[in-house]
Amino acid sequence: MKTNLIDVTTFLNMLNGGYQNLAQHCREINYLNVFPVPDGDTGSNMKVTIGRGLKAVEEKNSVSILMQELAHGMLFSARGNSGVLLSQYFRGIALGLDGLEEVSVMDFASSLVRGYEVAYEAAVAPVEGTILTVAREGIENALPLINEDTSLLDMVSTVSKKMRASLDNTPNLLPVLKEAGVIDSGGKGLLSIFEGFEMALRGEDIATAKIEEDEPKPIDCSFFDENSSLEYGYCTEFLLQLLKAKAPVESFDIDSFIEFLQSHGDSVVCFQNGTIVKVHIHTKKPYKVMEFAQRYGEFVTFKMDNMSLQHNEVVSLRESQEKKRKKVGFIAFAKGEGTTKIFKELGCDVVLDGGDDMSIAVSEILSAINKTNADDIFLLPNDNNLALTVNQVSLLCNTCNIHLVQTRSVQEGYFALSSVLMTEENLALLEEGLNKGKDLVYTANIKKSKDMHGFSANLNWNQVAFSTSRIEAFLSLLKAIPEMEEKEFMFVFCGKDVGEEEKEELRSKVEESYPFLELGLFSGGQNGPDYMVGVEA
Amino acid sequence: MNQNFAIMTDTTAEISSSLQQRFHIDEVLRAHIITPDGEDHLSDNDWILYPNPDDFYRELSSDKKLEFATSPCNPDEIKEAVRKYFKAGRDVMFLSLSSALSGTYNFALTAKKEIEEEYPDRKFVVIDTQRYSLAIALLCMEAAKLRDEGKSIEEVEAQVHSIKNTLHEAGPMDDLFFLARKGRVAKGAAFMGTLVGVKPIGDFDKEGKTKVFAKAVGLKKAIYASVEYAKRTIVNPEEQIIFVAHTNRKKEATLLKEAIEREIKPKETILVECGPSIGINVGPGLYASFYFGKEISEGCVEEEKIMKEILGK
Repeated sequence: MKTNLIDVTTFLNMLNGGYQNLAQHCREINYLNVFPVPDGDTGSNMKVTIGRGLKAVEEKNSVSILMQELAHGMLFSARGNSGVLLSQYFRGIALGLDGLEEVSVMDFASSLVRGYEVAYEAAVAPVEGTILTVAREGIENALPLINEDTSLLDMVSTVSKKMRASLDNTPNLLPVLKEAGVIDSGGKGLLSIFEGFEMALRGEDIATAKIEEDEPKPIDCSFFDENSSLEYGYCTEFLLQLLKAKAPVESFDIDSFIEFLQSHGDSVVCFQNGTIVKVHIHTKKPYKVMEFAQRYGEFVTFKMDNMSLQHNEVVSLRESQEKKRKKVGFIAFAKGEGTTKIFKELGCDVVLDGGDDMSIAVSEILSAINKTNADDIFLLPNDNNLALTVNQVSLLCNTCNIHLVQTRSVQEGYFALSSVLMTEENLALLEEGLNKGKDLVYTANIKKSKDMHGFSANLNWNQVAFSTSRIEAFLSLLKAIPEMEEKEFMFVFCGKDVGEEEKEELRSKVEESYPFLELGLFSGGQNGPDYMVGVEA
Repeated sequence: MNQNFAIMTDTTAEISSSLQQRFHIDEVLRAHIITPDGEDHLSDNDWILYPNPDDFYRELSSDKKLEFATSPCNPDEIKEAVRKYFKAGRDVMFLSLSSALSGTYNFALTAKKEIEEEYPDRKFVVIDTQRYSLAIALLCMEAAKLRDEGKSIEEVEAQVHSIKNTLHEAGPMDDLFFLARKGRVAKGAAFMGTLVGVKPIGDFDKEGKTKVFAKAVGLKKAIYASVEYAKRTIVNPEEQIIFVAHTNRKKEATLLKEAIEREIKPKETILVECGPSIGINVGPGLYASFYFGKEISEGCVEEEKIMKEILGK
């Protein structure tokens, strides 16, 4: 005689509670999503999967049949890696309950084992530290604490407690999580469902979300433009109805089908339910997969997303959310768009383009400081004339400590920042490194002479050469640098008047005269000077 | 020679045919590379696909660089290779590229599960080396040596696990673009900027990612620091073969090799240009030595201290 039977209405309420609670945590789960592809859609996918599944439920009398309906509905609506695994988990639960006229708490508990087993089978290469681990450890660690007298509420609450412990441990199993400082998103989704079960059983209020009103996200195509390249491929998902007209349905071999998928992409999840095959794959060549699939049948549903877009949406969301105050920040002043970009790439928080005359208002600098939002900010004026303004600012600023690095040129600033590890948290060491770094280069410039008839070459703010040809002025400059033959490196930010041809000519002439010199030629884009040169001091 | 089990790895270990023969590595599986034309090729370390390394690295430096990709051998490919040895009555030990860098290890585990069901009496030992490139080669060589001395597969497995974290990589990397893009460089040096005259230097962290912990100014200083660092972290150099690997930096790597021979006096040094499987993920600009040394500390704290001391001088 079974004890503690589960009543259908309670069961359905519980399932709804799971969905509602998942919906509440959807955004948060999206944000956690870093594995297998950081596309930030785990929460939404899981929500749609279970939400649409619930819509398909009509049964009012049997827990077992209700579970079959739910699992069937979820199978058709499953989206994304985690959604597919979740649908398989529920399919396993349904299989575990299959044929039972009455379902006890113990039956439900054992079906959760079947649930994770089926999910593991569906994941072609199961990875620990994911939803799979949470599903498995949740029930396996709870089972010893559950017996025939345990109530449904106590059972569910024990499982969710164990799931939480398992989830907290996911970063130790999956390094990519640890590195990103997050727990697994799919696992978090599963826990939210079980916590929702528990809340519903307790009779707690869960703020209600309408079932599956998934507003279509506007797609920001600016993340994938003519300069982009396909880095992540397409998240491709479909349901394939096997067709007798195409190939003998009975002899369809799912294993060799999976083998094909694996050789054409990753994150493969694939399983067969009767004559329907569900496929999830990340691939750069979806047409190959489609072509192959159509040998066996036709698509019932089909969805394909460019993962670069998904990924970038998350990145920009994260950027806007990450307003946390940093310990150390960097602000640098650039001349032209080229050096602005270079300073940003190096890791500066804010780069202010001073333009030709390096004129920047105090207010602009103050707002840059606010934007940087750090306890200690290193300011690199990169200009002789700016030093005073910047000094002024550091006196005005009382929200953080300003460390002024007296860089006199963009060249000094670039090299100072290059030569330190900007992630260093030891302020004294950083400051020392930056100050030392700026002194390791000479600053030289080639610019049009005032009368516009030629080009003057300056080394450390003294004119050392003059020529009517820009390249000649450059080469004369090099001759004026003491022990130039011994120098190991030189970098040049070319102004916007310098064309590609001239750059190439310069490169070959310099390489010819100084074969051992490491030369970096950048597009600086500044109006003037035409060449901003940094050379080993 | 004791042939009771086979030693297997894949092309990410940078083992050429001649190294394979010389050091008795039974199998070097060919991992996949995808070229910008979208074609999937089997990689090799004998420069078959790209007869001229310079051509390969030139293409890799061009704006096509993002279109190159690599993918590991899938479970079936691994299974097929293992089956060959199982059929011949030999167990197999597979030394895999770090699981922090690639899915190879997981695929090998899948293969293990399936093939051991098929052959319940045979063993397929899979080891996550937590390393890449010639560090894996050094582990394979050590494993083969122990095997040839008559050690059992279990003994060799235990030994490999106990020494894998003593493998170091010492040398600069000109361009962190590739490593940063693939998430294959440890966080903490996540800058992407192009550097001129400044050489980031690092070593493996415990997972086998490259951790950058210092910057040297100028080539001479970078080579000096790399050699000095190796000198202070290496153990028993006179008994070791040191690999000097590079990606399109033959001149610099040769300077590094000469300095190592002069300063460290190992038993032998071998210069290797990294093939496509590693090259695609590292990009041009690496020249580093691989050797057995002291155990690498948690978070590379000790190693960082040593390097800072060297560069502080």
